[in-house]
Amino acid sequence: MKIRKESGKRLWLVIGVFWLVAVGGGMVVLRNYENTSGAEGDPPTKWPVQSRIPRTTGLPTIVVMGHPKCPCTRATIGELAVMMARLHNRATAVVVFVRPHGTPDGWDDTDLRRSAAEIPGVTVMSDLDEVEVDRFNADVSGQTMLYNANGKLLYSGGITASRGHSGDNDGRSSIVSLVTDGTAKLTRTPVFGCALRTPKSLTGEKL
Amino acid sequence: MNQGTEKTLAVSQTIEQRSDFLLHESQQAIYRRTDRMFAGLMLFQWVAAVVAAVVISPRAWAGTSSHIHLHVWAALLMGGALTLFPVSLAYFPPG
Repeated sequence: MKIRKESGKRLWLVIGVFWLVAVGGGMVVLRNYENTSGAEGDPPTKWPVQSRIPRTTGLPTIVVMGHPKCPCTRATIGELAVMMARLHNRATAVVVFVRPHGTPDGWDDTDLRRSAAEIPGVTVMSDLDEVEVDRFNADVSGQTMLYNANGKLLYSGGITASRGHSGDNDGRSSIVSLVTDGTAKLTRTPVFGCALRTPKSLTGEKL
Repeated sequence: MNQGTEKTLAVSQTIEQRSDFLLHESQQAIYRRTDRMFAGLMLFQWVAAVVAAVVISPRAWAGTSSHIHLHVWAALLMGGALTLFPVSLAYFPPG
């Protein structure tokens, strides 16, 4: 009876060790996923003259490229709301939601888009056929750029600390600092979010 | 020691043993009940995590293509791994 009880305890111990390893491994995978940034965008250093994104004369413009269905971008929109409250009329922002070729009307009419539209000082627009995304060389949802009143690029990157995580981060504080003081420690930060474009392997385009 | 005192000692020892036994039984019953309650809570937490993942971040997107978000798999598999071991411990060797 005692031997049976002892071997039972040993079995639970072995299962416990495997459990710890499995859970620890899972945590590592999740952590890596959250902290792996997307491809860095390479936006033009001067505001592209062909761009249809609206700007307010005399004010810096913040441009956020977003995928309307990306759950991670919710954190970016939350950070944008905090940023706009801090900047208070010292900059305008435009959230450009990508609408790929062939998608039906209303494809980008999502809760995320409505949340962005509710932020004071923020304009929301659809980017049919990814024209602006191409113009600004953005790859990842959440890519944020700051152009000064003269159209010079001051900052490019993400405004979340990791994928889908709200809270203080370098991107947000850099933009606020650039608009209010004209300087910032960082002018580029990593971007975390879904890809804005359909992978070429799925569109049939040559890689 | 006379016979009467010996008998009283034996009776008090029996009462002590019996009370220890009853205390132990009662403690074990409370431990088992608490374990099962937490096992139920763990299972509920797992289901809630899966529902939250499905509602909040069901799919990850790349342009027009999408796939089930890692959060859903994590809630299902990691949540399952996190839950099932303690729940098994609570049910199989409870207390």
